[in-house]
Amino acid sequence: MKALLLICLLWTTTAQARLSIEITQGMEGSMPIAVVPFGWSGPGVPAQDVAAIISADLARSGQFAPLDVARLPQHPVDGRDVNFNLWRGVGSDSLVIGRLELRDGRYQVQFQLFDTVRGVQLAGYTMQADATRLRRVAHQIADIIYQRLTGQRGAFDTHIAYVTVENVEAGKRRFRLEVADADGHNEQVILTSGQPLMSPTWAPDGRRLAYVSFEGGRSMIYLQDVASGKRQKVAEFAGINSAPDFSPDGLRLALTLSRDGNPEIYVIELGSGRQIRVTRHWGIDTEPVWAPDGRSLYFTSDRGGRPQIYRVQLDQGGRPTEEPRRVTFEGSYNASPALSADGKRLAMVHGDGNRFRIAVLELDSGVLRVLTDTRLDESPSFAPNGAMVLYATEVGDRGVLEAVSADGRARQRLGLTKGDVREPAWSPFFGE
Amino acid sequence: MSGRFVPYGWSLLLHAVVVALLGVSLHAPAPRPQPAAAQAEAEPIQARAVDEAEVQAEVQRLREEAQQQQAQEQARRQKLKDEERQAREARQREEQRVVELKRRAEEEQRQRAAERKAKEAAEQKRLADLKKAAEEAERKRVAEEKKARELEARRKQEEEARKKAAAEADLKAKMAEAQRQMDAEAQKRAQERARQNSTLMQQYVADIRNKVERNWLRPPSARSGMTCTVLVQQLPTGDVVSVRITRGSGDAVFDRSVEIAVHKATPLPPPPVPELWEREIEFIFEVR
Amino acid sequence: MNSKALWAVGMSSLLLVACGSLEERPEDVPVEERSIGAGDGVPADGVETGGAQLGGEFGASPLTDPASPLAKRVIYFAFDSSEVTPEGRDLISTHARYLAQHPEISVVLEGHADERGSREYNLALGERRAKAVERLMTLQGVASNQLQVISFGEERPVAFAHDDSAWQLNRRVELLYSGY
Repeated sequence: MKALLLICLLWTTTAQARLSIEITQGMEGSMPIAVVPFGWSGPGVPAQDVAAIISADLARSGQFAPLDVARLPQHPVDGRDVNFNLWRGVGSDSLVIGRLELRDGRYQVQFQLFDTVRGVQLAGYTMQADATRLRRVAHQIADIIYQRLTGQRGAFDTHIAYVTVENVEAGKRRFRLEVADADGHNEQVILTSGQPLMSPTWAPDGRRLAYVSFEGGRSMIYLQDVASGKRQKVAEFAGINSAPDFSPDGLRLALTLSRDGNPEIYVIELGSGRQIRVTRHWGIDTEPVWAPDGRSLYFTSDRGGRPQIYRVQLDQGGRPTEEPRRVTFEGSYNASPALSADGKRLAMVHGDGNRFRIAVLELDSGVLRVLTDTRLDESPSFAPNGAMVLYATEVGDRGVLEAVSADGRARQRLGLTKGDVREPAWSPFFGE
Repeated sequence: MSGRFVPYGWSLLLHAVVVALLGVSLHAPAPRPQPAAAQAEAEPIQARAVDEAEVQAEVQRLREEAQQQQAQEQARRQKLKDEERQAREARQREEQRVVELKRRAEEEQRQRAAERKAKEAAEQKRLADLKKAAEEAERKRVAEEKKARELEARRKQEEEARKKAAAEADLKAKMAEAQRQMDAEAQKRAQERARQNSTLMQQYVADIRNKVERNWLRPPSARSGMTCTVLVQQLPTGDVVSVRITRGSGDAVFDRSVEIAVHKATPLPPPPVPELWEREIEFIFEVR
Repeated sequence: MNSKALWAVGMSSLLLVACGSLEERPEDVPVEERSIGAGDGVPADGVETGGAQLGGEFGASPLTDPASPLAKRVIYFAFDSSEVTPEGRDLISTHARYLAQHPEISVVLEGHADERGSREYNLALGERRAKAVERLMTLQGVASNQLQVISFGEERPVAFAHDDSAWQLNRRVELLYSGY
């Protein structure tokens, strides 16, 4: 042992004989990356501009700054044509090139990712898709690039659900529940109503949505299959029926019912319709969200006077095992909990005085970080990789959706449709 | 199986033979013993006329004979008595002699017994002594062995202690040497630092640091405490020709950002005076 | 502010109101008028002129009379509160008296909230406000089957600006008489 120590000592002593400089500051910002338009050997233009989709995805994550296409020093399609010096010259650390081909009516997509600083290839794949799935392939390529360069799983090949409101005429509004790609493309309306819609939430399989609809004159919860549009009513008890959230196994729904006098948390088994009451308090208890292990629920409650977020443990059968415990202690108003997929971070609407902003609480350390600086933020929803939080806010006179990186550094607005957009819900990763 | 019955067979045969022989011998007439020899025939008694003178003479003769015979008889008797006496005496003497002999023999025997006893005792003693001596010797041997072992053990202990001491001393010496080296290094470093602390050197370092910091894009995964050390070699023109990470942070993305930073900082700014140029520079990137 | 305190305040203020309403108030007259005269649900279109009726009011039903105090059908609330203000209490009593005397008439109490904060919490807050009004009404003799509580949270604002004046108008409970 002593000999080992000795060796270490000797080794370290001989290792220091030169100028040593400490670097403690860097630039905060996005990684410069160049995405060269993919080569195309077919007639006309391909169904999608794959490079543009990739570029937009990476930019939207807030972690990349794609080079303007006009400034690209060359347009290589093959790895052998890449001149790394040129790319270093324009300050691009990474380079994406690719090629598109049409074979028997299907697209063959090939791409390569290079580290221009060190002059090495980091990834290279070939994928196939027909025209309708080409956008999706572009998102998947963006996911691969994101993962290689940041170490985190990409969430570009996902969907978002949200509610839009349009003024049709004086006193009359049209509400729509829509689903789109995470980049806002391929918007599809899955429900239109003359009455308000609220709180869409995804089932873990990404195929169903539960939501609150006032089409019956008051709040009721519906469950709808996204692909087929088939739906069923799952809660129309007296009083409020709202705030649905699917359990991680997709078999139960936590929700808020005021049938017993005031809003309380219940859990409904979707198969049998059996209900378990989880909270018993004269205060308002609402907005339940499941922890990833299905053994506890976070929810909003004003049992302490003003809305704060609490957590209640459940047993195997979904019954509470102890009194709920408070989880938020900073700020006079904390509501709308949203849990990251790993269960480690809680996003919420954090109010102080007149401002309502999105904040993220690290559950282990108790550190709360406010991510936004607008005033009327609501409905936070984590991306399934936990890297971004989608939420609704007011800009000018319009309701818009914005996405902020989980550390608050980068923020971007989603360019979606006309009217007000609200109540976003980010889908889980897709199984396929 | 048949082997077992063979001896029985032979035995039977033998018995038969013997029996047969006996039978034969039984059947042969045994010779009779001859009757005893003649019996003694009795002589008849014959009477005769005697003459007085003759008779007297005869009587005298007979008396004389008788007297003679008596005298002879007496003499014989006396002789016999003497002989008896002599014999008796002789016998007595013999007896005495025998007794004496016996006595002597007994005496001798006693003596011999005593001697034997003594000899035995002596032998016993000798054996006992031998045994004792042997035991003593054994004891001594064991004791000596033990002593020898102890000595050996002690010797070994001392040997080991000596070795250990030697090793420790050796290690101490080496550590002292290392310490000396470290001290020498520290001194060299101090000198180096003194050199660096010179204003010009400070300026050179600041120039380099600024350029590298400007080019370091910290990844979002950078956490406070992360540190990565990279060794860079430059040409006199400032061109970075070698970048090698000597201690990674454990996060590949972070390390890559560090490598990219030093690569992008090329060419490193020139020193204020040429003598200050350093071929090798170690950058320690740290997130505070 | 929790509901228990609210309850105490509500009860004690109700007591005060009860004590204070012993004298006749001019606003009550049309209600009594109505009990003598015309039936329910008859729209006022000036058919019956006011000669035979005291107070000079026209319209058979006070619910359709824009000058009637019953025409005021909105109770306002402070931010994040379901406590009924004194003005609110007065208005509630007015309507409660009317309803108590017309057990065949029912009303929907529609609760609302302003847009700030969580939508779901605001849905619950709207209900709590409507329930506060309901409680006060039942205490004043209104039968529970005459009252229905619904909340729309912040989903049905009447004012769409993003400032205090709009928010103030949206924090309300509306009394919706069916058919009126």
